[in-house]
Amino acid sequence: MSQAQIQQPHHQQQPNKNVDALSQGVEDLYLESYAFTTAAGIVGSVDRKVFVLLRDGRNLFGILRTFDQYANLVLQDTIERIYLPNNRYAEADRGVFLIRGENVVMLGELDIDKEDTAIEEMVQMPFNEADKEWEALNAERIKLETQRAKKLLKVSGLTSDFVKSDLY
Amino acid sequence: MSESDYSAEPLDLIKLNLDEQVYIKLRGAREMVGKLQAYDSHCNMVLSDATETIFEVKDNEANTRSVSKKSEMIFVRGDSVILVTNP
Amino acid sequence: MLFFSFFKTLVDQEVTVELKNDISITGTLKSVDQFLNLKLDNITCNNDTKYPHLIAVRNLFIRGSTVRYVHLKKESVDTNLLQDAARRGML
Repeated sequence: MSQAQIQQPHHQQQPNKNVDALSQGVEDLYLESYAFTTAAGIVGSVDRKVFVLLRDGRNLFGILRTFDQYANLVLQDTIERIYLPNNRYAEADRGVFLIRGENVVMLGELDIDKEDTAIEEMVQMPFNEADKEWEALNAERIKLETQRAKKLLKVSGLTSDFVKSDLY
Repeated sequence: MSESDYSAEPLDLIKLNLDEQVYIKLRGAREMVGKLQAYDSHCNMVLSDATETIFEVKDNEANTRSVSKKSEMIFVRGDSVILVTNP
Repeated sequence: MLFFSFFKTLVDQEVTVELKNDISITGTLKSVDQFLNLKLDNITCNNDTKYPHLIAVRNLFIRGSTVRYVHLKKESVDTNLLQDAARRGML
């Protein structure tokens, strides 16, 4: 049952056209004031293939089904992709994802004609292996950055901006 | 200068610097010098003819070196700002 | 509110957004909201290797909290208007 619900596209704001003139005017006003809101920036991407960059550095690709004013998102048919040095990448199917808005860095609409050009030249590897390597790379990066921060502080009293959870 | 000197809050000190050169210390070992065009209560700012200086420590060295970048007009998000003063 | 209005005046201008992870993205500003989230069209990124799929991206929504700087052109900005607004305390 919930499966069927997910299949239908979620019509976020398309109003019912069978209304009288007065309501039509009110609608237009409503849509006008929509212009510079979080919703206005995202609504154009609904039901399209998008990529989301999360604060922990993960790249998710999927169909954007719904969102709200906090940029919480629901993605369907989501694929998580990891890029590794030396032209390698890995993908894993994740299904339906609800993403909390505070973890979103960027949300981009994908051009389906071009979306595979990035990975065309790359070598795919198994996801579990790639995930382990990625975690190792992140751990290494955290280590380096904390060392750098300590040095900066000791040598010149400067603070570092590094936050362990922001690996994007 | 301002109608209510006796109730000046810290942000009013920034107001005094409008159209003047300011020095901003930012997170991430950065500094910015430029002409203050606008600010708000979050310390978001717009500077013109700004120079950003980024400090780095090279490995195995006891000194810092710096990299400078210029921008003719730049918006700085307030959450990076540590302090604002005159250069 | 001040910078929300400021960014509204910059719609359809080309800007370069520098994120807190040092990546810069250039594009045409299409939309902004009260949190200073930005929507850019026609984007190009200064780093091709970090997010290879960005070449397939037409437009981008960037969360305001991840922005460090927005680089602008001097002619995009009316400095007198800005200073007045800041002075009047449009906070």
